[in-house]
Amino acid sequence: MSWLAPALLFGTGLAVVPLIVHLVGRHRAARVPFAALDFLLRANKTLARRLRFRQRLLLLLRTALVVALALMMAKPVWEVVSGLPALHLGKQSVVLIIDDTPSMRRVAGQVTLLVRAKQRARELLRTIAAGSEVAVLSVSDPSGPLALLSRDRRRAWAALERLQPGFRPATLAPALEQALRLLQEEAPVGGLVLVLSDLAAHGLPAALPAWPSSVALHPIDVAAGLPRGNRAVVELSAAPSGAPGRRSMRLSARVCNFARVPSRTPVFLLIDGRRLAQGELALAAGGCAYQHFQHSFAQGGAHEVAVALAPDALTFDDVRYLRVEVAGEVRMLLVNGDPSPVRQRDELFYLQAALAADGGDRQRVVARAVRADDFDARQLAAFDAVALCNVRALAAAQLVALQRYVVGGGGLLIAVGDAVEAERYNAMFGALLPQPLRGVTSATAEAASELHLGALDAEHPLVASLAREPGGAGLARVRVRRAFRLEPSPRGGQRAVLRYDDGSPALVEAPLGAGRVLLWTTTIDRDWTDLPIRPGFLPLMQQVARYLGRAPLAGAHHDVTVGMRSEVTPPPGTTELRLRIAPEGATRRWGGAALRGGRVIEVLADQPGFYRLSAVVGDEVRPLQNESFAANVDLAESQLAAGTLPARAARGGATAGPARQQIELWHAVGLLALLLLLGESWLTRRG
Amino acid sequence: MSQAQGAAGPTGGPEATATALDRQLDAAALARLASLRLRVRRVVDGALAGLHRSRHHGASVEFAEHKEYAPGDDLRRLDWKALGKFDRYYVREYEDETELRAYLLLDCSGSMGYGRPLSKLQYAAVLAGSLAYLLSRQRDSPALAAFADDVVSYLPPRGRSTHLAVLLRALDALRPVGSTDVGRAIERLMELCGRRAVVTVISDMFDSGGRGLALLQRLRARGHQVVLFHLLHQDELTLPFSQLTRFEAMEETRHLLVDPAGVRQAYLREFERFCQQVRRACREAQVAYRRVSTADRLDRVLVELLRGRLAA
Repeated sequence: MSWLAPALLFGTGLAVVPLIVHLVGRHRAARVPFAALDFLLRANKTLARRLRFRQRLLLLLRTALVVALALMMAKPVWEVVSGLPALHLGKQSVVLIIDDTPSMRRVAGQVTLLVRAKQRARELLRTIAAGSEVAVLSVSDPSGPLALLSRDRRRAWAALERLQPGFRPATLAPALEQALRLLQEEAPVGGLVLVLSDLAAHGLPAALPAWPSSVALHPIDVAAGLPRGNRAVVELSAAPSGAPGRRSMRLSARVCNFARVPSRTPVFLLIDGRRLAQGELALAAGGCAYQHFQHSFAQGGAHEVAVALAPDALTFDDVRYLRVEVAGEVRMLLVNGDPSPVRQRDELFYLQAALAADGGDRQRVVARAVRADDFDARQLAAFDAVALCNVRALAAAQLVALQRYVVGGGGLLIAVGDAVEAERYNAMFGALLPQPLRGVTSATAEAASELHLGALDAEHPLVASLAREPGGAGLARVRVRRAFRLEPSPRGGQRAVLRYDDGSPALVEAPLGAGRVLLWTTTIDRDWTDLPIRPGFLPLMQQVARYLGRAPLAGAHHDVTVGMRSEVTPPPGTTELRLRIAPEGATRRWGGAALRGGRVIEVLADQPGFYRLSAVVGDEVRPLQNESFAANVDLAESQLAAGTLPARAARGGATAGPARQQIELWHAVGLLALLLLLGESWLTRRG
Repeated sequence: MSQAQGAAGPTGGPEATATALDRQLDAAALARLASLRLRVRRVVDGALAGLHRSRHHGASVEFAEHKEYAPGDDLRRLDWKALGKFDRYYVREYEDETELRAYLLLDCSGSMGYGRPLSKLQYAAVLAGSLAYLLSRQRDSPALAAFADDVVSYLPPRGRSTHLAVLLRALDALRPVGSTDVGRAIERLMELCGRRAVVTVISDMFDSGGRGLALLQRLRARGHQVVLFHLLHQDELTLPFSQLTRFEAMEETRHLLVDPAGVRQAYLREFERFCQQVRRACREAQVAYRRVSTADRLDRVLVELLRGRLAA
C-alpha cells in the first residue's frame, strides 16, 4: 500500500486528541453539589459496566474517526501487479492477438479463458492512449483480421464482441506474422503486439519470426495461476470382439491425464445417444490408460458411439465420437454369361465362393446368381449391386432398366470374357462402360507376354486396405494371359483402381449418376487369369461387392478432425441436403443452386460431434449413412502445459513489463470515517 | 393583593391578574425579595386572592361533639333538642373552640441547601412562614421545629401577636447544615407536644435513618393531624445536566463523576421509586401528602392546603 499524500499521515498523531480531551474533560468537569446524589450513585451502580463500555467505545470511535480522516486525506492506494502491460502514454499502433483456439474454452471461475482474454482486451483498449491505432486478430484465422488498424476504437470493441471460441487448432506463428505485416504496412514506425492467450506450449512457435526492433511484443497469460491439468479421451476405436456373434464389438477408449497429480475419473459409454455402460479409470500423473467396453449391437449398420469422462475445466476433449459400422448385408446379383454344368468351369464358380466367405466384422455379401437368359431387370430393386460376368448381350429394355438402376445409386461390375466382343459391347453398353473396349490383348503361350497386376491406387478406398499389406495381398503375382485394352473416354471421371504391370488398366471405376460402375478387363474366372486362385482374389471381390453396394469398406475413414472438410455427393434427384450435428443440435441445409448438376457438397467440420446427413428426394428423406461421419478436436489442444513466448521491448517504445495498477482506497476509508461518525453520533444521542 | 390588582391595571380581568401574580410569585421573584416577611406576605396575599376567586368561602367553626353539661359551661350552647330527646343536658362543642396548635417541622439539613435562586430551604421557609402567618391570623398557635440530624431550633406554640415576628426571624436565620434524620426530629416532637395538634413536615425526606416514615405513622396514631410537604428541587426531578459533571454530596464528602445523559433514565427511575415509596407510606399512615417542587407557586400550594385537597 502506498500514499499519494504521505505528509498528511502525520495527522494520525491527532488520534491522541480524543484521549486528551477525555482525560482533561474529567478534570474540568463541572462540580455540582447535588442533594440526590444517593440516587445517582444507585443508578450509576447498575449502569457502571455498560457506561464504562460505552465511554470506551466512544473514545475508540472518536480516535478511529480522527485516524480515518487523516488516512483519507493521505489518499491511500493499493498497488497490484496488473496482468496488463505498462503501456506508454503516447499514441501508438497496437495489434491485439486474441487466442480463440479450443484450449481457450477452458473454464476459469465462471467464464472461459476466451471471455477472460476479451475482458483484458477491453481493459487494454481503455488504457491505450487516445488517437492510437488498434487492430484485432484471432489466432484461428489471422489472415482475416477482425478489425484492421484504425483509430476508431468502436471497431475493435465490435470485433471483440464478434469473437467466438473455435474448435480449430492453430498455432500462434501465423498470427504473429500477420501482426508484423500489418504494422509494417500501415505503421512503419513500429508498434506493439499484445498476445492474449493461455500460452499453452502446443500453440506457441518454436522460434519467433524475424522481429523488427521497432515492434514490441507482450504476451499476456490469461491462464496465469490456473492449474494446467486436464483429462481427455485421446483415442476411441472399435474392433470385433472375440465374443460369439458378428455384431459384438470391443470399444476401446484411451484416456490421458495431463495433470501433474494422479486422478480418477468415471468413463461413460454412450451408444446412439444412450448411456449404456460406465467404468472408472485410475490415471497416473501424466499417464494414460485404456478403458475397454464390450457391446453387442442389436442391429447392423452405422452406430454412433461416444465415450465421455466427468467434465473438467476443458470439456470438449472429455468426450470422443466414433461412427461404428456394424456388419450388415450387401445383396448382389450375379449374372452368369457363361454357365457350365461343370462347376469348376462355371463363370461364377470362384466369384460365388469368394463372396460367400465370412467377411469377419464387415458386412456380409449375399450373392444370388442368375443366368443371363433369366436376368430380369425388375428384380434389380432388391439388390445393392449387380455383376455382369461375361454376358454377351442384354435386351434393350433390360439395358435401360440397368442404366436407370445405376444412375439411381446402384453398383455395377462388368467382367469380360470370351463372350464379349468389343464393338458390340461398346455399342450396347456404351453408356455404362467407364471406358470403351478396344480389343483383347493377343494371347501367346510365352511367359514374357503375360501381364501381371501392378500398381494399386492406394488412395482408392476399394483397394486401400489391400495396398497396406505386403505385395498387395498377393495381387502382384497374379498372371493375366488375356485382357481387354481400353479406349480413352470422353466422359471423364474414370479412375484406374488396378493396373497391369504395363500400365494399362485392369480395374476401372467411373461414376454414373449416383451409382458406380467397375470394369474388370479380364475374366472373373480362371479362363484368362489365375487371379481366382490367388489369395488376393477373395478380399478384392468382397471389397468390390461392398464398394458397389456402398457398404462400409475395410479401411474407410468415417471420422474427421474438426477443421477438415468432407465431400458429400447427394443422390440424384436430391432437392435438399440436410445436416444435423449431434449432440450440439445445429442444422445446415443446402438446396437449389448448391445441388444443381449433382455438385459435390463440402461439409466443414467446425465442431466436434456426429454429422448426420440426409437427402430429400421427392417426398422421401433418405439418411446418408455412408456420408455421415464423426468429428473430433485435434488432441494437441488438450495438452495445456505452459510454454514460453518471449517478450520483446521496442527501441524507445512501449515497455514489455507488467503494469502496476493503483487501486484507490481513500473512498473506502472516507466511507469508514462516515460510518464512524454516524456511530459516534448515535452513541452520543443514545446517551 | 393590592400589588396584584395594581399590576393588572384597570382593564385587567381575572386572567390578567393571574398572570401578574404568576410573575410575582415565582421562585425568582420571591428570591428578589430580601425579607422573609415580605415573601410570606406576598405568598399569603396570593393565596388569599386565589381563595376569593373561587366559590370556596373558607372553613367556619365546625361542630365537633356533644359534652354533658357541667357547671360553668355556656348556657347558650346548650342543645335543647338533645334535652328533649334524651332528657339530659348536653352542650355543643366546636373544633375552633380550642386554640389550634400547629407544629411546623422544617428540614434544614445540608440537602435542603440545594437550588438557585431559591434554595429548597428558603422555599421551605417561605412556605412555613406563610402557614405561620395564616395560623396567626386565625389566632392559632404556630410552633417551629427546625431539624437536621436532630432538632436544631425550636419555638414553642404561642398565640401572641408578636410570636409571628419571632418565628419569621427564626426561619430567616436557618442555614442548611448536617444530615437528615426525620425520625429523630419526630421523636423529639412527640415529647414536646402533648395535645392533639397539626404537624406539618416540610422536608425532602432524604432521610439517612429511614425511620421518618414509620414515625409519621406513629404521630398520626396519637391523633395528630399530619401533613407532609415533600419538597424537591426541579433539578432533582429532571436531572437536566448535560456535560460530564462531578456531583458532590451536600451532607458528606462523597462524589460521582458521571455523564448525566448516560444515567438519566436510571436515575429518574430510582428517584420516582423513592417518591412513590414516600407517598405510599403517607397514604397508609393517613398522612396528607403533597409533593412540592421548587418550581411550584407557593400560593397555590397554600390554597390546596386550605381547601383540604392534599392527598391523605
